[in-house]
Amino acid sequence: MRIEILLTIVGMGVVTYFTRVLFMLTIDEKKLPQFFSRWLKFVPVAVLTSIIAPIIAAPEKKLDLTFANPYFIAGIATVIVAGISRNLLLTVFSGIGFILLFKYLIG
Amino acid sequence: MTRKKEKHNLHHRPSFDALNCRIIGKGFIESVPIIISVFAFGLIFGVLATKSGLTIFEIAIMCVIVLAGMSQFAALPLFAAHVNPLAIIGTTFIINMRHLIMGASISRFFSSRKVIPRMVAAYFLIDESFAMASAYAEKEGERLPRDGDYVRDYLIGAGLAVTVSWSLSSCIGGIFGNFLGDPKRLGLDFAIAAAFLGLLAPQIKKKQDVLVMLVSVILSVSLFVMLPGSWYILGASLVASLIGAVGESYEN
Repeated sequence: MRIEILLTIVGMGVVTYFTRVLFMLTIDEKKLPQFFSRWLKFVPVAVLTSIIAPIIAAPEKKLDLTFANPYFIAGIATVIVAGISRNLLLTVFSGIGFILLFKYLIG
Repeated sequence: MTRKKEKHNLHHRPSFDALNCRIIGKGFIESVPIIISVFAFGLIFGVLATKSGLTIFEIAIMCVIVLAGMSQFAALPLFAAHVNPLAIIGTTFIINMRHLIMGASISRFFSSRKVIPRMVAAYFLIDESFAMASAYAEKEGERLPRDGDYVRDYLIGAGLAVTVSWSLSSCIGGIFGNFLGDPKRLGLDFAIAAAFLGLLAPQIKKKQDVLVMLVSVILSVSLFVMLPGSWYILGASLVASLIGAVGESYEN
Protein backbone atom coordinates (compact mmCIF):
# COMPACT_ATOMS: atom_id res chain seq x y z
CA MET A 1 0.00 0.00 0.00
CA ARG A 2 1.53 3.28 -1.08
CA ILE A 3 0.21 5.77 1.40
CA GLU A 4 1.59 8.87 -0.31
CA ILE A 5 -0.25 8.10 -3.56
CA LEU A 6 -3.47 7.41 -1.69
CA LEU A 7 -3.17 10.67 0.24
CA THR A 8 -2.50 12.55 -3.00
CA ILE A 9 -5.64 11.03 -4.52
CA VAL A 10 -7.68 11.97 -1.43
CA GLY A 11 -6.28 15.51 -1.66
CA MET A 12 -7.29 15.68 -5.33
CA GLY A 13 -10.77 14.49 -4.34
CA VAL A 14 -11.13 17.04 -1.54
CA VAL A 15 -10.20 20.06 -3.68
CA THR A 16 -12.39 18.78 -6.53
CA TYR A 17 -15.41 18.30 -4.29
CA PHE A 18 -14.82 21.77 -2.87
CA THR A 19 -15.10 23.29 -6.37
CA ARG A 20 -18.32 21.35 -6.94
CA VAL A 21 -20.12 22.09 -3.71
CA LEU A 22 -19.08 25.67 -2.90
CA PHE A 23 -21.36 27.72 -5.14
CA MET A 24 -24.08 25.11 -5.13
CA LEU A 25 -24.52 25.80 -1.43
CA THR A 26 -23.74 29.49 -1.32
CA ILE A 27 -24.55 31.72 -4.27
CA ASP A 28 -26.27 31.66 -7.60
CA GLU A 29 -24.82 32.87 -10.87
CA LYS A 30 -26.61 36.18 -11.00
CA LYS A 31 -25.03 37.37 -7.78
CA LEU A 32 -21.45 36.59 -8.87
CA PRO A 33 -19.27 39.58 -9.69
CA GLN A 34 -19.34 39.82 -13.46
CA PHE A 35 -15.57 39.73 -13.85
CA PHE A 36 -15.37 36.52 -11.83
CA SER A 37 -17.89 34.66 -13.98
CA ARG A 38 -16.13 35.91 -17.11
CA TRP A 39 -12.84 34.64 -15.78
CA LEU A 40 -14.24 31.21 -14.84
CA LYS A 41 -15.82 30.91 -18.27
CA PHE A 42 -12.38 30.96 -19.94
CA VAL A 43 -10.79 28.46 -17.54
CA PRO A 44 -11.69 25.26 -19.46
CA VAL A 45 -10.28 26.55 -22.77
CA ALA A 46 -7.10 27.82 -21.07
CA VAL A 47 -6.52 24.59 -19.14
CA LEU A 48 -7.16 22.25 -22.07
CA THR A 49 -4.87 24.25 -24.34
CA SER A 50 -2.11 24.41 -21.72
CA ILE A 51 -2.13 20.64 -21.40
CA ILE A 52 -2.21 19.95 -25.14
CA ALA A 53 0.31 22.48 -26.49
CA PRO A 54 3.50 21.23 -24.74
CA ILE A 55 2.71 17.60 -25.66
CA ILE A 56 2.59 18.58 -29.33
CA ALA A 57 5.23 21.32 -29.53
CA ALA A 58 7.85 19.99 -27.10
CA PRO A 59 7.47 16.24 -26.53
CA GLU A 60 11.09 15.91 -25.39
CA LYS A 61 10.86 19.04 -23.21
CA LYS A 62 12.47 21.22 -25.86
CA LEU A 63 10.70 23.14 -28.61
CA ASP A 64 10.54 21.09 -31.82
CA LEU A 65 8.34 22.51 -34.59
CA THR A 66 9.81 20.42 -37.39
CA PHE A 67 8.60 17.52 -39.49
CA ALA A 68 10.99 15.30 -37.54
CA ASN A 69 8.57 15.59 -34.61
CA PRO A 70 5.69 13.11 -35.13
CA TYR A 71 3.70 14.70 -32.27
CA PHE A 72 3.79 18.03 -34.09
CA ILE A 73 2.54 16.63 -37.40
CA ALA A 74 -0.08 14.38 -35.77
CA GLY A 75 -1.08 17.37 -33.63
CA ILE A 76 -1.74 19.58 -36.64
CA ALA A 77 -3.70 16.80 -38.36
CA THR A 78 -5.78 16.20 -35.20
CA VAL A 79 -6.45 19.92 -34.74
CA ILE A 80 -7.90 19.97 -38.25
CA VAL A 81 -10.11 16.93 -37.57
CA ALA A 82 -11.24 18.39 -34.22
CA GLY A 83 -12.00 21.79 -35.76
CA ILE A 84 -14.02 20.39 -38.63
CA SER A 85 -15.80 17.47 -36.96
CA ARG A 86 -16.20 18.88 -33.43
CA ASN A 87 -16.72 15.27 -32.42
CA LEU A 88 -14.93 13.80 -29.39
CA LEU A 89 -14.73 10.14 -30.38
CA LEU A 90 -13.77 10.83 -33.99
CA THR A 91 -11.02 13.18 -32.80
CA VAL A 92 -9.63 10.68 -30.29
CA PHE A 93 -9.50 7.79 -32.71
CA SER A 94 -8.15 9.76 -35.66
CA GLY A 95 -5.55 11.26 -33.30
CA ILE A 96 -4.38 7.81 -32.23
CA GLY A 97 -4.35 6.80 -35.91
CA PHE A 98 -2.25 9.83 -36.88
CA ILE A 99 0.35 9.35 -34.13
CA LEU A 100 0.74 5.64 -34.91
CA LEU A 101 1.15 6.49 -38.60
CA PHE A 102 3.66 9.30 -38.16
CA LYS A 103 5.62 7.48 -35.47
CA TYR A 104 5.89 4.58 -37.92
CA LEU A 105 6.92 6.84 -40.83
CA ILE A 106 9.33 9.08 -38.93
CA GLY A 107 10.44 6.72 -36.17
CA MET B 1 -34.23 30.77 -11.37
CA THR B 2 -34.64 30.44 -7.62
CA ARG B 3 -38.22 29.91 -6.75
CA LYS B 4 -39.62 32.32 -4.17
CA LYS B 5 -39.90 30.85 -0.68
CA GLU B 6 -43.41 29.57 -1.02
CA LYS B 7 -45.67 29.42 1.97
CA HIS B 8 -46.22 25.81 1.15
CA ASN B 9 -48.65 23.62 2.94
CA LEU B 10 -46.45 21.87 5.54
CA HIS B 11 -47.74 18.49 4.42
CA HIS B 12 -46.12 18.92 1.06
CA ARG B 13 -42.65 19.95 2.21
CA PRO B 14 -41.06 16.51 2.75
CA SER B 15 -41.89 15.12 -0.70
CA PHE B 16 -40.81 18.42 -2.22
CA ASP B 17 -37.28 18.21 -0.79
CA ALA B 18 -36.62 14.47 -0.82
CA LEU B 19 -34.68 12.68 -3.54
CA ASN B 20 -37.00 11.13 -6.10
CA CYS B 21 -35.86 7.76 -7.47
CA ARG B 22 -38.06 8.01 -10.56
CA ILE B 23 -36.39 11.23 -11.70
CA ILE B 24 -32.94 9.87 -10.83
CA GLY B 25 -33.75 6.85 -12.99
CA LYS B 26 -34.87 9.10 -15.85
CA GLY B 27 -31.55 11.00 -15.71
CA PHE B 28 -29.66 7.71 -15.64
CA ILE B 29 -31.48 6.17 -18.63
CA GLU B 30 -31.33 9.29 -20.79
CA SER B 31 -27.56 9.49 -20.23
CA VAL B 32 -26.87 6.13 -21.86
CA PRO B 33 -25.74 7.64 -25.22
CA ILE B 34 -23.27 9.93 -23.50
CA ILE B 35 -21.80 7.30 -21.19
CA ILE B 36 -20.76 5.23 -24.19
CA SER B 37 -18.17 7.87 -25.04
CA VAL B 38 -17.28 8.13 -21.34
CA PHE B 39 -16.63 4.38 -21.44
CA ALA B 40 -14.20 4.68 -24.36
CA PHE B 41 -12.49 7.58 -22.63
CA GLY B 42 -12.21 5.54 -19.41
CA LEU B 43 -10.59 2.63 -21.24
CA ILE B 44 -7.88 4.98 -22.51
CA PHE B 45 -7.50 6.50 -19.05
CA GLY B 46 -7.10 3.07 -17.43
CA VAL B 47 -4.42 1.99 -19.91
CA LEU B 48 -2.45 5.22 -19.43
CA ALA B 49 -2.89 5.15 -15.64
CA THR B 50 -1.38 1.66 -15.45
CA LYS B 51 1.46 2.87 -17.65
CA SER B 52 2.00 5.81 -15.32
CA GLY B 53 2.59 3.38 -12.46
CA LEU B 54 -0.79 3.32 -10.73
CA THR B 55 -2.32 0.05 -9.53
CA ILE B 56 -5.87 -1.06 -10.40
CA PHE B 57 -6.89 -0.32 -6.82
CA GLU B 58 -5.48 3.21 -7.01
CA ILE B 59 -7.20 3.76 -10.37
CA ALA B 60 -10.55 2.65 -8.93
CA ILE B 61 -10.14 4.80 -5.81
CA MET B 62 -9.22 7.82 -7.94
CA CYS B 63 -12.21 7.38 -10.25
CA VAL B 64 -14.64 7.26 -7.33
CA ILE B 65 -13.05 9.97 -5.14
CA VAL B 66 -11.94 12.50 -7.77
CA LEU B 67 -14.42 11.67 -10.57
CA ALA B 68 -13.14 14.34 -12.96
CA GLY B 69 -11.65 12.91 -16.13
CA MET B 70 -9.71 15.89 -17.37
CA SER B 71 -7.83 16.42 -14.11
CA GLN B 72 -7.23 12.69 -13.70
CA PHE B 73 -5.62 12.56 -17.14
CA ALA B 74 -3.53 15.63 -16.35
CA ALA B 75 -2.32 14.04 -13.11
CA LEU B 76 -0.95 10.92 -14.83
CA PRO B 77 2.31 12.38 -16.18
CA LEU B 78 2.79 14.02 -12.78
CA PHE B 79 2.39 10.70 -10.95
CA ALA B 80 4.78 9.10 -13.43
CA ALA B 81 7.36 11.85 -12.83
CA HIS B 82 6.97 11.56 -9.02
CA VAL B 83 6.44 15.31 -8.64
CA ASN B 84 5.46 17.00 -5.39
CA PRO B 85 1.93 15.88 -4.36
CA LEU B 86 1.04 19.53 -3.79
CA ALA B 87 1.74 20.24 -7.48
CA ILE B 88 -0.67 17.40 -8.41
CA ILE B 89 -3.35 18.64 -6.02
CA GLY B 90 -2.84 22.27 -7.13
CA THR B 91 -3.11 21.32 -10.80
CA THR B 92 -6.25 19.30 -10.04
CA PHE B 93 -7.77 22.31 -8.31
CA ILE B 94 -7.09 24.74 -11.14
CA ILE B 95 -8.39 22.32 -13.78
CA ASN B 96 -11.55 21.71 -11.78
CA MET B 97 -12.22 25.35 -10.97
CA ARG B 98 -14.69 25.30 -13.84
CA HIS B 99 -16.99 23.35 -11.50
CA LEU B 100 -17.48 26.57 -9.53
CA ILE B 101 -19.29 28.21 -12.40
CA MET B 102 -21.09 24.98 -13.31
CA GLY B 103 -22.36 24.62 -9.73
CA ALA B 104 -23.56 28.21 -9.65
CA SER B 105 -25.19 27.77 -13.04
CA ILE B 106 -27.10 24.51 -12.55
CA SER B 107 -28.25 25.23 -8.98
CA ARG B 108 -30.29 28.16 -10.35
CA PHE B 109 -32.73 25.46 -11.45
CA PHE B 110 -32.89 23.69 -8.06
CA SER B 111 -36.11 24.33 -6.22
CA SER B 112 -35.20 22.80 -2.86
CA ARG B 113 -32.80 24.55 -0.49
CA LYS B 114 -32.08 21.39 1.55
CA VAL B 115 -28.34 21.08 2.17
CA ILE B 116 -27.77 17.31 2.23
CA PRO B 117 -29.40 16.55 -1.16
CA ARG B 118 -27.46 19.47 -2.64
CA MET B 119 -24.24 17.99 -1.29
CA VAL B 120 -25.13 14.70 -2.94
CA ALA B 121 -25.89 16.51 -6.20
CA ALA B 122 -22.54 18.35 -5.95
CA TYR B 123 -20.67 15.03 -5.90
CA PHE B 124 -22.32 14.16 -9.22
CA LEU B 125 -21.54 17.50 -10.90
CA ILE B 126 -19.48 16.22 -13.85
CA ASP B 127 -19.02 17.82 -17.29
CA GLU B 128 -21.36 15.29 -18.91
CA SER B 129 -24.06 15.26 -16.21
CA PHE B 130 -23.95 19.06 -16.10
CA ALA B 131 -24.52 19.15 -19.86
CA MET B 132 -27.40 16.67 -19.61
CA ALA B 133 -29.08 18.41 -16.66
CA SER B 134 -28.67 21.86 -18.23
CA ALA B 135 -30.28 20.67 -21.44
CA TYR B 136 -33.10 19.07 -19.41
CA ALA B 137 -33.64 22.28 -17.42
CA GLU B 138 -33.66 24.41 -20.57
CA LYS B 139 -36.08 22.09 -22.35
CA GLU B 140 -38.55 21.38 -19.55
CA GLY B 141 -38.00 24.58 -17.57
CA GLU B 142 -41.29 26.06 -16.49
CA ARG B 143 -43.34 22.95 -17.20
CA LEU B 144 -41.74 20.85 -14.45
CA PRO B 145 -44.20 19.95 -11.68
CA ARG B 146 -43.42 21.13 -8.16
CA ASP B 147 -43.73 17.82 -6.36
CA GLY B 148 -39.97 17.31 -6.38
CA ASP B 149 -36.65 18.90 -7.28
CA TYR B 150 -36.51 17.61 -10.84
CA VAL B 151 -33.30 19.16 -12.15
CA ARG B 152 -31.32 18.27 -9.01
CA ASP B 153 -32.43 14.65 -9.15
CA TYR B 154 -31.91 14.44 -12.91
CA LEU B 155 -28.33 15.66 -12.37
CA ILE B 156 -27.80 12.95 -9.75
CA GLY B 157 -29.12 10.25 -12.11
CA ALA B 158 -26.98 11.40 -15.02
CA GLY B 159 -23.95 11.70 -12.74
CA LEU B 160 -24.51 8.21 -11.37
CA ALA B 161 -24.53 6.81 -14.91
CA VAL B 162 -21.28 8.62 -15.73
CA THR B 163 -19.66 7.46 -12.48
CA VAL B 164 -20.47 3.80 -13.10
CA SER B 165 -19.26 3.94 -16.70
CA TRP B 166 -16.10 5.91 -15.88
CA SER B 167 -15.00 3.72 -12.95
CA LEU B 168 -15.77 0.44 -14.65
CA SER B 169 -14.08 1.30 -17.95
CA SER B 170 -11.01 2.73 -16.21
CA CYS B 171 -10.50 -0.51 -14.29
CA ILE B 172 -10.96 -2.58 -17.45
CA GLY B 173 -8.48 -0.31 -19.25
CA GLY B 174 -6.10 -0.65 -16.31
CA ILE B 175 -6.14 -4.43 -16.61
CA PHE B 176 -5.53 -4.23 -20.38
CA GLY B 177 -2.74 -1.73 -19.81
CA ASN B 178 -0.65 -4.44 -18.16
CA PHE B 179 -0.55 -6.31 -21.48
CA LEU B 180 0.35 -3.35 -23.69
CA GLY B 181 3.82 -2.05 -24.38
CA ASP B 182 5.38 1.29 -23.46
CA PRO B 183 2.71 3.95 -24.23
CA LYS B 184 5.32 6.58 -25.06
CA ARG B 185 6.87 4.30 -27.69
CA LEU B 186 3.43 3.60 -29.15
CA GLY B 187 2.57 7.30 -28.98
CA LEU B 188 -0.34 6.63 -26.64
CA ASP B 189 0.58 9.68 -24.57
CA PHE B 190 -0.73 11.58 -27.58
CA ALA B 191 -4.19 10.10 -26.95
CA ILE B 192 -4.62 12.57 -24.07
CA ALA B 193 -3.86 15.49 -26.35
CA ALA B 194 -6.30 14.11 -28.96
CA ALA B 195 -9.04 13.63 -26.36
CA PHE B 196 -8.58 17.15 -25.04
CA LEU B 197 -8.61 18.57 -28.57
CA GLY B 198 -11.95 16.83 -29.05
CA LEU B 199 -13.30 18.41 -25.85
CA LEU B 200 -11.77 21.79 -26.69
CA ALA B 201 -12.98 22.31 -30.27
CA PRO B 202 -16.72 22.82 -29.53
CA GLN B 203 -15.82 25.39 -26.85
CA ILE B 204 -14.11 27.78 -29.28
CA LYS B 205 -16.89 30.15 -30.27
CA LYS B 206 -15.77 33.76 -29.89
CA LYS B 207 -12.63 35.71 -30.66
CA GLN B 208 -11.76 35.87 -26.95
CA ASP B 209 -11.66 32.07 -26.94
CA VAL B 210 -9.08 32.21 -29.73
CA LEU B 211 -7.11 34.83 -27.78
CA VAL B 212 -7.12 32.65 -24.65
CA MET B 213 -6.00 29.69 -26.74
CA LEU B 214 -3.10 31.58 -28.32
CA VAL B 215 -1.90 32.96 -24.98
CA SER B 216 -2.18 29.49 -23.43
CA VAL B 217 -0.13 27.92 -26.23
CA ILE B 218 2.69 30.47 -25.94
CA LEU B 219 2.79 30.52 -22.14
CA SER B 220 2.41 26.79 -21.53
CA VAL B 221 5.08 25.80 -24.06
CA SER B 222 7.50 28.50 -22.78
CA LEU B 223 6.98 27.55 -19.12
CA PHE B 224 7.17 23.83 -19.93
CA VAL B 225 10.47 24.22 -21.74
CA MET B 226 12.04 26.63 -19.25
CA LEU B 227 10.86 25.43 -15.85
CA PRO B 228 11.27 22.08 -14.10
CA GLY B 229 8.18 20.39 -12.67
CA SER B 230 4.60 20.69 -13.83
CA TRP B 231 3.39 24.08 -12.72
CA TYR B 232 3.13 25.16 -16.36
CA ILE B 233 -0.54 24.11 -16.62
CA LEU B 234 -1.48 26.10 -13.54
CA GLY B 235 0.57 29.18 -14.45
CA ALA B 236 -0.36 29.36 -18.12
CA SER B 237 -4.08 28.71 -17.66
CA LEU B 238 -4.47 31.22 -14.82
CA VAL B 239 -2.85 34.03 -16.80
CA ALA B 240 -4.54 33.15 -20.11
CA SER B 241 -8.04 32.93 -18.65
CA LEU B 242 -7.54 36.25 -16.83
CA ILE B 243 -6.43 37.87 -20.10
CA GLY B 244 -9.59 36.52 -21.76
CA ALA B 245 -11.76 38.00 -19.00
CA VAL B 246 -9.97 41.35 -19.18
CA GLY B 247 -10.35 41.35 -22.97
CA GLU B 248 -14.08 40.71 -22.72
CA SER B 249 -14.57 43.34 -20.02
CA TYR B 250 -12.66 45.85 -22.12
CA GLU B 251 -14.90 45.19 -25.10
CA ASN B 252 -18.16 45.68 -23.22
